[in-house]
Amino acid sequence: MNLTKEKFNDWLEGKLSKAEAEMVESYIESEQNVAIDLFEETSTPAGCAELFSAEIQPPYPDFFNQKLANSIASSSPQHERSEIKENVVSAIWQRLLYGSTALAVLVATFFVGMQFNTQPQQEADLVYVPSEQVTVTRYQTEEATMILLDGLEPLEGDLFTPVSHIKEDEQIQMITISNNSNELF
Amino acid sequence: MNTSPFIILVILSTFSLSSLHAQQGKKIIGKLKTTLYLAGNSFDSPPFAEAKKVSKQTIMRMKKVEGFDFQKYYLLGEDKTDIFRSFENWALPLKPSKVLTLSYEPIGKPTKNSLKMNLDLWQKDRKIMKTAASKLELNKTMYIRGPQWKKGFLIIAVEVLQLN
Repeated sequence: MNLTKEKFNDWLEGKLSKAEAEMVESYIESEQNVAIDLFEETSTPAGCAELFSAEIQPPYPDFFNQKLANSIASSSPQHERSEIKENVVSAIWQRLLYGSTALAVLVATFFVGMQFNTQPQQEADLVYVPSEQVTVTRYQTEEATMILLDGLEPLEGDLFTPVSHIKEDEQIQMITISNNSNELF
Repeated sequence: MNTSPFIILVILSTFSLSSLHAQQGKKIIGKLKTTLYLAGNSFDSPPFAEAKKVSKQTIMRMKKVEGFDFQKYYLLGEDKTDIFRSFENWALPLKPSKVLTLSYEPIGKPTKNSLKMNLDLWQKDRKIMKTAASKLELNKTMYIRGPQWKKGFLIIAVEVLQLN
């Protein structure tokens, strides 16, 4: 009997008639080595195929694509190379344009901020003193501004006494100023 | 897109602008004169040998105002200092003494004949007065009557001499 792969497969899948199946079975019993070879040829690849997915993506596709593009570019004719060079130059100019625009925006923002910072401030004439014991009176004349501070601690001794360092008083308080320009006359 | 050149460009430009700003801050925009007077009614002699007489014009100007009207005035010292655009400046009208000092910082741009400044008056190591954005005009003095000393009052005069 000549046992083909197709017939062996049909026997495995139970497609043969009872008589044909008995003939195959008797052949297999007598020629077990042939049956084993047929079984490995037919079933093993199919079994293996199930273990792998149909498509496997290569790692780092961009990297390989870039390498491939470089390889094509290096082996391409001269006019294609010049096109690639033009594209690179165009990309550099584009980046410079973006950079210049961003720089211009940065400079404009800086100077707008400077202008805002140097705008005339709101009219203010406040005087702060460190203690509630100190009172402030302010006079305004055509020739001068006069500020009286009453209640300060008197200075004793020599005015040329050395001072170690200057530090800001942390308890500055704002007080209301009375503008007594009318009290002058 | 490779953004490294752009970032480097931004950093370099920022440093350049900061440097430009710092240079502008050091610009001298004017000159300030700070004078220290002693005024009182019961002085027999000047407080010390270096004390000078005060001009009649200044005396008349002060005598107009109650609280500044005294019989005798002495000029104890004066200091002429530059006004830097964005820096805190110090004036010591009684050099080298730091018993009474003035720190000042301009606010905004000066006009043709005036400038706004924050003024801080110090008595030894204590701040005794602070003004916010006081307008100082050319040829218009600000007088501050400060603490008592030797039967009189110390008066600090602040005057903008010139504006650039």
